[in-house]
Amino acid sequence: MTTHLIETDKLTRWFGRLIAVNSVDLRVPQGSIYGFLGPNGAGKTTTIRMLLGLIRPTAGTVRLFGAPLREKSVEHRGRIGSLVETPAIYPHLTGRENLEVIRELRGGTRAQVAYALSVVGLEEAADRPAGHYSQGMVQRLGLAQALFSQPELLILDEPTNGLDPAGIHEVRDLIRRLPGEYGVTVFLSSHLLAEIEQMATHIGIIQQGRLIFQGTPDELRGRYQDYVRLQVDQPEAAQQALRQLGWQAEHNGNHHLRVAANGPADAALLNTQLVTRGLNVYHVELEQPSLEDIFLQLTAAPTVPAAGGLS
Amino acid sequence: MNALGRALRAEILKTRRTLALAMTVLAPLIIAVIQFAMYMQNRNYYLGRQAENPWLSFNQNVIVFWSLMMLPLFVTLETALLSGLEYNRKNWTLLYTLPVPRWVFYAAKELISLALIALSNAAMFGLMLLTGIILQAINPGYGLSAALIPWANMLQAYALVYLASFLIISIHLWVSSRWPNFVVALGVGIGATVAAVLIFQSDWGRFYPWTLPGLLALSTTNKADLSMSIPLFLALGAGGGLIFALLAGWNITRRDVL
Repeated sequence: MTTHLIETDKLTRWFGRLIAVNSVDLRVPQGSIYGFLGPNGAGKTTTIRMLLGLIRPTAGTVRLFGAPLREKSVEHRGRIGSLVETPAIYPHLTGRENLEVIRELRGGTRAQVAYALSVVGLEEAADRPAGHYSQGMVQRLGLAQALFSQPELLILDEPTNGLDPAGIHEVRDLIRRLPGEYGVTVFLSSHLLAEIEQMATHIGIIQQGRLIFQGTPDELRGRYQDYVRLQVDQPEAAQQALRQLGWQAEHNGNHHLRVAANGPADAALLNTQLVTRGLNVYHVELEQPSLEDIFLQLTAAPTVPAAGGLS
Repeated sequence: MNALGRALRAEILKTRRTLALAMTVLAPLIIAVIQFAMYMQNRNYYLGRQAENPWLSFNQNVIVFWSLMMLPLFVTLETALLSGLEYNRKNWTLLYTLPVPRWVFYAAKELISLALIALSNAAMFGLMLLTGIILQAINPGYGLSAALIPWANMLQAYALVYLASFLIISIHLWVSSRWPNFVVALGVGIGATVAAVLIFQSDWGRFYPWTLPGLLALSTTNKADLSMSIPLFLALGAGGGLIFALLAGWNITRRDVL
């Protein structure tokens, strides 16, 4: 049975008359990189703040590590590292001193400071004021703060926001290494699908406060139809033959057909069936919607109830 | 208490190389320089006053300026700077996710504020003595001989002024923690201090938080009628400060971190 480090049930938050998060049921499996995806203003940061106990839900519950989140309970916070929006640094202190502040508050050791600096590759810049760091270095320092106590769960809100391409690459590379090398489960929000696609093993898509999909990237792709594009010498005859065989085939003008299919095996079968009926096939192409297409379709459509299940 | 000790050490670390720390000496230094300039400028007036211990009148000038004008403004600035350390980059979002109860952070902020204001009072006392000694070295006619320093009287005055400032420290820490905008904190501080100068002499002045340090400073000098009110001023200043800090901590730690 899958262990979920984060579970929410009907998590809801109103701000006055505006509903920011609406009955969200999150399931974040242990050992996953869970990409929490949604356009700006969709409710990602509000959800994260509720997971971290920074704001109270209007309704619903949060369970972390299998136990209900209680506002005044601090035990579970020792098992979580977080980075919400901008890194919380003191620019007049050096990178090392910033981690010393965390060490004092968490009650850690100097070895943990060195460990956190090494994980994010900031050893050489550790004794420079953090105010002189590049944005990428500040972000890595924020990650070092989050990783300081070697947490079981890392919650990151838009961790590559404002970074240049090199900084984005550095941070993504670091996050990808975390589950394998350090056994960390990562919950990561972003409005960039490409970012989530490159890192996440699981995806949750939120729009207008509602979770409209939750599952693996393959499950997300699986919810959308593949097509095979064919170029044939006799399109009308080919369309009739395929329909008789039970395919949904559309004639797209000239010599092109578009057939609803299910993966590369269907593409090969279609080719064989047409050729054995004496119809020449010039070109076969499998058309799979990209995650970006799916995301745009999902977030462009009017909000629908949460869909997709997670094993 | 272990968590509070750790949070306090973190607060001390955070004040390294900050304006908040530098101001604990700079603010009293301004008063000391003004006092020095005044004595040099009006040399003949001060040289002629030998009726009482010259240190008493010398200190009265310093401590009244300090407690009535500079200290309330300094408390405003100091608490705004300390709160700004957390607000400038929304650091509460990190602090409140650490395995430390929320009240500990506010208590540590209150304690570091009290400690820095104590440091500034000590600096004011030290700089006052130093200024007197320098003036005496320039012209022995001032009568500010080190042998005449009334240690007990003056130390008591600074201690009382400090205790009476607890209430404004707690009020300003709450204001600067409640409203992240620096302008709000400074506006409240400047407005309250200007009002303090206006109502200082009125009956209501005895119950106005921003006049309490000044009234205690006067009560330890030569105002016999005020000396009767020292317990009241202390109860309002120190006791009120403690009660206000508890209420403020309860209010701040219950707030959502948006």
